Amino acid sequence: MTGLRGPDRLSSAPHRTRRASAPWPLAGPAVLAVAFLLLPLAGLLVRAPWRSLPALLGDPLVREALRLSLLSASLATALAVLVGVPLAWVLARTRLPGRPLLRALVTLPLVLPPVVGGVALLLAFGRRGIVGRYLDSWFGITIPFTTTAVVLAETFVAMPFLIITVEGALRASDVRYEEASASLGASRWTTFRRVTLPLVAPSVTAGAVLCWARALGEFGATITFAGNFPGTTQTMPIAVYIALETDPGAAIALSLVLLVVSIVILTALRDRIVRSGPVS
Amino acid sequence: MTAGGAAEAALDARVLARQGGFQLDVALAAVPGEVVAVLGPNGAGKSTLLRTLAGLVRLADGRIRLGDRVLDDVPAGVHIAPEHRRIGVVFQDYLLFPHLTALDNVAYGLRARGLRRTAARQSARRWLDRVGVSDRAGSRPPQLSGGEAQRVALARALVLQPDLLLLDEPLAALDAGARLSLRTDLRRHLTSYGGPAIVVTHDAVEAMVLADRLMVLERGRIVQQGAPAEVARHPRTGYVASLVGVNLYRGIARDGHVALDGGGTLLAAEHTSGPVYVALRPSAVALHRQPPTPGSPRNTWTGTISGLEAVGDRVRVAVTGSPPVFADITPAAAAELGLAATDQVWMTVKASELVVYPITPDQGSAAADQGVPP
Repeated sequence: MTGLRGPDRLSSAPHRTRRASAPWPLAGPAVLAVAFLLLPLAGLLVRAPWRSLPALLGDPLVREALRLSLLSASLATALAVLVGVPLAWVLARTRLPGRPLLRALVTLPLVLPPVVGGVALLLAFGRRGIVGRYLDSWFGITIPFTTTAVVLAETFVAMPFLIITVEGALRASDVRYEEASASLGASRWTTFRRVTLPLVAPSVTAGAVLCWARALGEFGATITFAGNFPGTTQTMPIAVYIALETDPGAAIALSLVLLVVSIVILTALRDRIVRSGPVS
Repeated sequence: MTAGGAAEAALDARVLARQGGFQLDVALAAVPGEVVAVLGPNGAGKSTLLRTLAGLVRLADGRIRLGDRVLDDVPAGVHIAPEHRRIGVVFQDYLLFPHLTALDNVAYGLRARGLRRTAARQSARRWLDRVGVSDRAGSRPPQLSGGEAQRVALARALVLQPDLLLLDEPLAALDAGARLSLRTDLRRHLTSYGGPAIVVTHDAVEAMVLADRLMVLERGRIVQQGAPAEVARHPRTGYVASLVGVNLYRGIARDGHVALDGGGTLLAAEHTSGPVYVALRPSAVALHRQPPTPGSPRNTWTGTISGLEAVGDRVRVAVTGSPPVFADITPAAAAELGLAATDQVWMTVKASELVVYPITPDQGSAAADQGVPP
């Protein structure tokens, strides 16, 4: 961590004294919340097969699952940014008729059980699906039970996190900067690229991190739409679930890996997000 | 002149816009090199007028022409988008892009036009130098003072050599000290700009200093226009009178007497007849505790003090009477007279101090009685 600079210390001193005297109706539940969130993690650490851990982690199957998880979550995030940011802009800036309905629909995957999402994806992109049928007969492309399916499933479930984050930021950002840009002769596309996007960049990053984290943990839609094929569709969460039935120790080890990866990435990004969170 | 490239385009606009229940209905023209100030209270429609000219608000009806270009023509279905109007705007709180340096803010418009980065920055640097903030080229807007931000915003608009320059309350965001020096500089830049400029403001002094011509906007309509000195001398609405700090009455003049609409009669030195305005400077009103003895041709009447207030180095006394009046006296005189609210006083005003001018038919209806700042 960084050392305290003079002014920081001065200004934070009074806050610290106030924080110490948190009223018990707040302090009590807060402690309870921490305990509730951390106890399961402690359970993982306590029951972890530390001795056989190196061997388990050296297993090519585990390494393959980890690689696939990181790759597919990153691809899903990239895909979500590519189409989700434009959609957020449309929702925030245009006066499209039926916009409230559209907004409700695109955030549906937030509340939909992921398994249902997986079934829906099969019905759309499966070999007999409404789109998949033509992909198959016209181009010979089959999506289900491939790595592509993993990426699509994760995108489906995780993209709403990005959309609502970016849309909220766009609504909060000052439209008059865009008017200023137009008065300087910039086209709407230039304005988006050089003014709108930089102003909401912190929120795009925050949304992308949320999206990535959700994609990394995705299980239900993935196993339904992409199945469980080691090397092509078996991501870490699926590997954990499968291992739980055959080798609980391995399941715990895999969970630990997922946990460590998540913590490392979230702490690496958290400072950036928190610091630049509110757009000034 | 020095700006060189600014096209010699005159503005000719007839603007009708509606927002909610509010209607803006204004005819506006400005020739190259002319600075027109649009003066009006909050909510009069000043910013809306500016936004229609900039193309940010669509007209309900009317036309806007700039030189030989038609920017808006509602009957003909023409609307040129803001980015194609070649109109420079200095926004009220400047709206410098917070993620770009001062230099890149100024270079922004040139870059948007397809100029290469180095060329754009070179031009931008020259303009920063010209407005006197070249030392802040690398600073981001949050680090700039209000005055510096104003100069950067001006440079950002002028670097594109727009056909028309619009300024929305250009000095309102500044403290009094910075405002004074910036006003002079702004006037200089507006003069050298060469194209027509419209300045929107609610500050009378700002309007008087910056503008060649004044238009007073109230409730969406122009109620008075003319040279600043003329408007100050012959206010035609209560709002204008209060801005320039005079008492304003309406009445019917006959044989050197003016019968005021609100009651009371004043003796004037000027012999006009018919419907007139009467303007009276508060400092021309003398106050007495006792009925004064009759003397030279002057007006004498009585009233009750309704309020006292320090204004600059004077005391402004509000007196209800027939007519009501604001009088400015020195603090010494106020102390000597021992004035307090509800005291009875007598006013005297020399007939030669009254400025009497006719109400022209088209402006008679827009006028309101009374004036002088609160």
